[in-house]
Amino acid sequence: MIEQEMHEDTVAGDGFSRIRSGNPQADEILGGGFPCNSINVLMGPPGTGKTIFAEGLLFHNVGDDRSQVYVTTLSEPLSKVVSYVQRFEFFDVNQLGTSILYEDLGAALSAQGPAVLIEWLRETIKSRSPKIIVIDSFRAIHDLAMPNDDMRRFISDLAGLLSAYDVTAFLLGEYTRDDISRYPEFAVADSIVEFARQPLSTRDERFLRVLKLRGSAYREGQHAFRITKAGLELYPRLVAPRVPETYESLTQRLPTGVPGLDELTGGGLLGGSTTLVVGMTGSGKTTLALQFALEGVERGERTLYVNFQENPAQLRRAIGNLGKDPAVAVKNGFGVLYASPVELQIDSIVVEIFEAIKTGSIRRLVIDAVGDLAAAASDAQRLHDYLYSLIQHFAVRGVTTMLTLESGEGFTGTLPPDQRFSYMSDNLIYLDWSRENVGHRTIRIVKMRGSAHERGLHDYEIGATGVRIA
Amino acid sequence: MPELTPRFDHPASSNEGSAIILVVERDPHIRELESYFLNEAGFTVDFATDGLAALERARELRPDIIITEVLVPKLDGLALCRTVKADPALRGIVILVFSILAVQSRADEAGADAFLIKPLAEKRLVDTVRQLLLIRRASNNSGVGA
Repeated sequence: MIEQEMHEDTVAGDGFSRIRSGNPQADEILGGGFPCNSINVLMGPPGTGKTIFAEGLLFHNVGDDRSQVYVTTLSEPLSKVVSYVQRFEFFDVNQLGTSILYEDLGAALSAQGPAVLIEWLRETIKSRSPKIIVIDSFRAIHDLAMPNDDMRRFISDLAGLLSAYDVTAFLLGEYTRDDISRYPEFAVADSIVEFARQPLSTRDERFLRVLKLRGSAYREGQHAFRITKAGLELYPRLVAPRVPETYESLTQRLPTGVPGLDELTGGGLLGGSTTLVVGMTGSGKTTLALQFALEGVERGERTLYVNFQENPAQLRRAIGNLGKDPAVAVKNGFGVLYASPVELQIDSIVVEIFEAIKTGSIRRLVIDAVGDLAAAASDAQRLHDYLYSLIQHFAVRGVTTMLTLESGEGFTGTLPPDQRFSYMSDNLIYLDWSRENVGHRTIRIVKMRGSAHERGLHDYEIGATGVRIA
Repeated sequence: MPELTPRFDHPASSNEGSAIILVVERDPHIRELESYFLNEAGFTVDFATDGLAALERARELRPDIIITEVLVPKLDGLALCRTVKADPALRGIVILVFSILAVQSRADEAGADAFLIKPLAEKRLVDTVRQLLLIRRASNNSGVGA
């Protein structure tokens, strides 16, 4: 008996054939890509990136002998769409007119109504064997003032035709969430992907969210992206890892590099643990965290210092002030990830950190300071979810982490300004100094999960070699 | 509207050109596209929209191949397949089950000669039909089969 073949390059892990979007992160979110022979709605306000995403997908799928078709309707003129796409790196003029066909149906739709789209699709299928069809904007067809029952018949006919043939369709439109229950195309859609934009301070944040993906697992929630010359640069929402069966809490102690601190913490920080260091400006948080990082380098452990406070020159100076050669430190495994707090985009920095711990053999990590991440986050809950997930990834990979947190003027030495940071940390260290006598500094180990530790206040000083417990 | 161009690199041979295909399909979109692509490839195509009508038409027409969906009214595609293969006058007709359902093993059990899952991809469909015709002719020439 003759059996049909499946093309391995488009088969995802779950056995379904997929159309890859050309964006590995989007495909990861979609469980491997869009199902082949599906109808997909890409929705969102103008300027959110739908068209760029769809065009990136078309150019990525060039390669076999089947063409791909992009048809504009009554929204943006074709000339504008084509003119704009040339600015992106994925654009290849050699594919136009052969592998990728652009068509403008605006005038025909205005003159003859929506039925012309189905007739055009039928003839295009016969003449062009399209693998992918993009219709932009599909929502604009609703503006042709068809009665509701006619519109339903039109959608049913369209869905029947698109399902009959081996083609994957993308219907783009400036839909709102309310449109999902109003317009029949959402009922026949196999997937719905929402693009959104929200203002944050002086810039905008863009998000992508999968609202529906029939018969397939996908990564829920909003995934940030920005538009670059390469297309959409996506940062899939980080989720906490499943703890592998082989995972065990580490019992190894890591010396902190801070004289006297190991004695207060029962012999150093537990491997894979997260320590939150809280204190006011000038309390020595950065110095203490640098000592922790440099101690790792001294011991041959790769270390990543994520820094939003000091620029690279300032950080080199701070390392030099501790009597260490910054160039030697870098050579021996001291890595720096710097982002200005002004330009900080939380999603990208979190993904960068995650990629660094995934691909590297990093043993120690410092984030100085998590308050800067909080200031950059439009949504405090999202920041919390990100950090929680990151910390779980650190723990599973045995990365020992130190986070610093600015406490502000109101710090009383009893509670951090944001308790959620302390809940997610294994260890909590408070640095404080007396308002009456600014030279008098105290340190307190508030908690150390899974370890005995000193509980009282201890004096410390900051000298030429850094923080030292008195 | 796009200009229609020849679809297949190798048009049907004179033998293939005489091949008659009976398509059993209730979906009008698939009927139209199957008809178009098979005609373009040089075959003569006839239709039935349910299993009983297909059986009747097969007795009148004696097609070379029946291409049937499983989900057709009155007599489903697999029952049609079993009936044709059990009838000494019809069992020489090649049956291709072309369905939205992933029922390859059931089609095999029903005596189908080939199975394809939808959606319609013209190259896959036409290539399969041509391959089936070659097998059928080889089988007829060697005196094997019905």
